[in-house]
Amino acid sequence: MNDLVRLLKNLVVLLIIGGVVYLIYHFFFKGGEEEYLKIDDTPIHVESIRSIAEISTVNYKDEVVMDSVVRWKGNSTWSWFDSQRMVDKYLNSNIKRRLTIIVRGEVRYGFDLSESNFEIRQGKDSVFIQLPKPKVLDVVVSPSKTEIFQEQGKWTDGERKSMEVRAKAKLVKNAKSLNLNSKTEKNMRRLMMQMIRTDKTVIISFDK
Amino acid sequence: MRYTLFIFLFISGLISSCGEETKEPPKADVYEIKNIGLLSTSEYTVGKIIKLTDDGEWYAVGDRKILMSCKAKIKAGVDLKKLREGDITVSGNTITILLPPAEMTSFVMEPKLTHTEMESVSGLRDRFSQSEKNNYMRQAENAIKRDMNETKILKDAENNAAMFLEDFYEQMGFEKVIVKHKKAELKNE
Repeated sequence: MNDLVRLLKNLVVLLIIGGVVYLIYHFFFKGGEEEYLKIDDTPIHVESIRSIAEISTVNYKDEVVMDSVVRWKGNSTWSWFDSQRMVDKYLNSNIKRRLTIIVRGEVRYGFDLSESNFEIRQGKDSVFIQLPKPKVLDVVVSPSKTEIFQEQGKWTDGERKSMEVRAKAKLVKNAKSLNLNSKTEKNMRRLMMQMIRTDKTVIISFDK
Repeated sequence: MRYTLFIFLFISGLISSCGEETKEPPKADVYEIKNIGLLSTSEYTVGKIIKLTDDGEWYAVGDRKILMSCKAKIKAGVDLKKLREGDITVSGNTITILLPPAEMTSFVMEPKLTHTEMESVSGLRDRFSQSEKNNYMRQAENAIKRDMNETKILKDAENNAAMFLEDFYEQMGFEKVIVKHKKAELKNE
């Protein structure tokens, strides 16, 4: 009976200590590192300037989720002394590290006319416009469109960058699976017709 | 004593498990396809150094410093979708085009071109997490976008757009091509 009373007393005292420790950690330490600081004001330097002539006619907007999970391996006796490993093993599906990122991006399809690689020929009653093949002009990704959804454990820059590069490739792959080239050509025809003022018949064709 | 040790370990486990929880990643399969008409005529590549010193609060032992570098590729041009019916007029062999004002058409910050040049953590401080680094890059992105207005990118884009359209309409058979730009509307912020 005495043992049970002692146990209950200890339980109550330890619960109070645990609660106080958690509250101190939560309010004073945990939040401190996650409140983002402001970076210093440094100038930008222009590295190159290029004249281009790109007409984008289709914008594909998508969201890609990349999830990377590293689990604890092995089951040695020493692992029982690693409290974090025990917590991960029994309460966190044995997950040692996990990084999940959400990349929102845009894939722009259009025509690169920078090399003046288009041709306009005048016929008696017609105008012939020959344009290059449509292609992916831009894959618009940036940190403001990238969200670190969850980060558990330590992750290196290389690992994060590798996930972002794979997310970008997945965006392009998703866009290509929709076969947007024909839509890009159709929109370009419509755009050209709005810009061209002529009484002649306009015939627009694209390189194969 | 055994009970106390068991309870202490149990509570420690509970406390440490509260720190990091695993969430299931959201499923994302919603996409959007939009018809656009952007003529991009100028491309700038700019670099920026991201500098931050975190001395921490009074109770924090140690400090943290980070230096990162990033590059962004910015394109500017005109939105041809904004052309209205009366913006293109023809008089004999002369064509006059009134173009909308130039704007940034794309902003790309390649993950591959972002590097941590120096990272220093002393005392009992945590290393910089990827979430923090992403936030610093977001701040850099906003700073670059703001500073781009101080460069000549929009002016270059307008001049290059005019040159491209002059060449295009001359090939169409017009002898004189006049390209004008509408003035950008002032934003009330």
